[in-house]
Amino acid sequence: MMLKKGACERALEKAISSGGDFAEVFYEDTRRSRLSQTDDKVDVATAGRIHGAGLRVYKGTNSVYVYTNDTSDKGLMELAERAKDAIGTECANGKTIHLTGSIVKNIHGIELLPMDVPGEERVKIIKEACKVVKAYNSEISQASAALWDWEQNVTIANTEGMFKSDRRVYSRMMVRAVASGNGENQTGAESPGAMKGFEFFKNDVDIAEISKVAAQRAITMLHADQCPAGVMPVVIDGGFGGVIFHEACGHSLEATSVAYGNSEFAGKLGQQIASPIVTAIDDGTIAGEWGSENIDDEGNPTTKLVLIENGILKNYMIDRLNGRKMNMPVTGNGRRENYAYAPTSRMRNTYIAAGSHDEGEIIASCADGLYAKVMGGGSVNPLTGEFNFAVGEGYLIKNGKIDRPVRGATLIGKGGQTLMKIDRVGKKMWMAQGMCGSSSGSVPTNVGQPMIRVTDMTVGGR
Amino acid sequence: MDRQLFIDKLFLAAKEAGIEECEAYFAMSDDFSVEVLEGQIKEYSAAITSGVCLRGVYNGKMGYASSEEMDESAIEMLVNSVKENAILIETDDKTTIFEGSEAYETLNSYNEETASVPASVKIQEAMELEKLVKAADPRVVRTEGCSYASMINEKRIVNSKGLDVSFKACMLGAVAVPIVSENGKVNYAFSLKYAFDKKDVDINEVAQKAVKEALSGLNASPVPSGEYKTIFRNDVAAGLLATFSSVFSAESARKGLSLLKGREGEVIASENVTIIDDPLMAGGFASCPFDAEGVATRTKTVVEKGTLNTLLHNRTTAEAMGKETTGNASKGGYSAPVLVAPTNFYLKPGDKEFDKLVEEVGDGLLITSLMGMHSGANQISGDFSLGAKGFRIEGGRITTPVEQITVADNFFELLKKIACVASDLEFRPGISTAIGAPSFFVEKIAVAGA
Repeated sequence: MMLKKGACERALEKAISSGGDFAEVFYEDTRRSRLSQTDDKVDVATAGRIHGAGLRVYKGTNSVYVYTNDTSDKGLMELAERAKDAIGTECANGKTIHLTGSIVKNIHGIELLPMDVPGEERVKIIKEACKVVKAYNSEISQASAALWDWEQNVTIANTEGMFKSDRRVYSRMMVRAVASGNGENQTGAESPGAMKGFEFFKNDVDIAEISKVAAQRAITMLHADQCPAGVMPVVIDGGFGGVIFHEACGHSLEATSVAYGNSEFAGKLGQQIASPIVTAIDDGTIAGEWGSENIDDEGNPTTKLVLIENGILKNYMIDRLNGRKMNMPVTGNGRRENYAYAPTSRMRNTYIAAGSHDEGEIIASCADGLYAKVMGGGSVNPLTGEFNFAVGEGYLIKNGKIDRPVRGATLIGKGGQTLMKIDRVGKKMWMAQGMCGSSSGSVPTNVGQPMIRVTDMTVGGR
Repeated sequence: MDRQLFIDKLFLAAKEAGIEECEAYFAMSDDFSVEVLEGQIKEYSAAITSGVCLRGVYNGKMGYASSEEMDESAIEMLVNSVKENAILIETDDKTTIFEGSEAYETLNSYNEETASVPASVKIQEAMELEKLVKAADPRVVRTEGCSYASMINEKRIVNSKGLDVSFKACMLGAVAVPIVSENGKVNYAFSLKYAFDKKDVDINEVAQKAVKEALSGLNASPVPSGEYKTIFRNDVAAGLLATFSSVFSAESARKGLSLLKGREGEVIASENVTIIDDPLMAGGFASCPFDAEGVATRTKTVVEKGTLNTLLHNRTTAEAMGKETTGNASKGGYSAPVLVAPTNFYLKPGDKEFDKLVEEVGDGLLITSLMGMHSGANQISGDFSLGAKGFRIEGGRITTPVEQITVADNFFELLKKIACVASDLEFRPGISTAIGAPSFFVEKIAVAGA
């Protein structure tokens, strides 16, 4: 089923007939599937279809969002009626909307659509991962793996005449190991993903390698001591270590927080907010990357945006509604999980750019501290900048050398202070995948950085 | 298409495709929320949506498929996907469709009056809430938003064995997030209240509570790292129990993801700990007469004075582990597979009033907020290390606020260390799972601070 231009024009006209000055239809038809295996047996195989439309109306900076599963002509008109009643009571002169279709170029070459791949082919991927984990070591008590993929087809139309369609294809897998001994369990997991088709698992992922990494992490953590609590220098490795920037700074640079002054970085464009060795970028244009797009969920082209350059705040990430509030142009960061959410400013592939320090020297010049080799997730309150995140695989640093592994470490701090305390940025940057949750739902984002060092942080442990 | 016609056609198509038995799980929801800021509507969202999940036994295995479209094309997609997915399943589980329990309790979570509160009234309430927040204290500089929301949820399970059960619930509530400032320091807090009846949502109470909480946290500072006598306030205690509730699931246990596996009958907690799962609780947010497989629900004591009585089961885990189902089959959304989850699940309160507990602790910490539950807590190991806020307890009184600290322990060890449980049980609202706890006291918790 497709969204019909005529029905869409009538719905948009209706939506702004009570005084609204802008309306937008977001139509979605998504097929998704999930497979998972525990030890040697496939235990979940599901398929689903998400289908619906959301309609937004603005009147100045007031906004109303309504959505439905009923995308028939009648359903769209009812939706428009509800939005119209909620936004105002005026009886405005009928404005005629003419939508002009435009082609969105897909820069992410999809070779194998997930829906075209037979179930047995998909099962092979998770089977291999579980097999490698199980065989790794006798302390491994359980292996599990999962594979998700989805194809989201969207059409975005608005009262400015936009009528664009885009297809987003995502593929991701997860492999997890549980190691057990002495009545204790520890885990290790890896979960690569991309804006690619099924070819991702064949061409880009070394399944045996990530499975071994997950298994070794579980075993390392099983034999690790508790992390001591206190304030110390922390070296955070690249890849998923970039979650520190995502939490400590990224969320506070989203217009959702900035437009209301609910961010410690509001009103600081052009000012130094980070150590001069920090340059940070949010880039939606990298072909095939997990957080990339062609157009955002408001129909605007995605962009490469410099957030911080040599410590100076250069840009916020801005969606349409908050752009109105801030009187600033959009940056192509309007994103949402699906039609059940109004879009807002969100991160894409967000990373600290490569610096000039040698990774070996970064650790060698750190007397005693913590080396966070692999980070877990975290969260932040943009208003105060307070963040927390978990260390998935950590080691103590003693006299400039990596010492024994430690578990249960948490890093806390305040974003602005932490950014200023970064005194080393390594040469090699890489990214890792995550799902970021916020007011417009859960969206795929990449985090990334080279190895960095923070002069002192509060490390939670016991 | 008419709903009954859709069901008839779906079941007929399933049968013709060789699906031996099947079930259609429908979820319908009517959600509304409005958030106001500075007397203006900041966000307004309204929706009526529905979805169906078909699961069916094909070739001896259970396949699943779901759709939000309910037309002819959906019937074909659902039936084909159920078959395709069933073929991939390799577990030996004897998962079957349930013919139905003999009797179901009558529960009422739906109030026509609540369901029909017009949008205009909810907007007014949100506006009024913001005024109350701003009037509560001169140090309130603004709010991050004040909102009012309502939700009507209905589920219906129909299967080829003649079961047809449905349940409707409706609730509404208010949330206030004041931002306060004094001497250049800024703090915020949030307070919410949800209920089945609009009369029970006192917006003035929500406003006062939120402002009081925000003000009390101004000028917070870390305590030195060390070990502290600690009270976890009721809302934080419920948050911890919610985070680790999966350890009581037989599904987790069976997969080796819970350290409580095979420990029924053993002492796993201090004698002060009794944990109850009560799906039949009058006024419970998660009350429902049947579970996600259509089994009649019942109340059970999961942990009794420290002894683990039972894990929570669905029909599949019970069959595999030689137990009876506890009526805890659950779906995390209509499209999700049937797993296991608690309903109204709570730590039973003691007799001691909260203030009395603080007095008896003398010197220590009161934790009123924990951050990073989704990342800093590991259900498989029980370890947690979380960002925290709270207050110092000095001379039996709550004194100055604390921030930028972490608390770290292990859930299973914590259960054994709970030395006292207060009388102030409070539930966190939730639609299919609502977790509650009173404040509790632990002799020693590791804290990282200044």
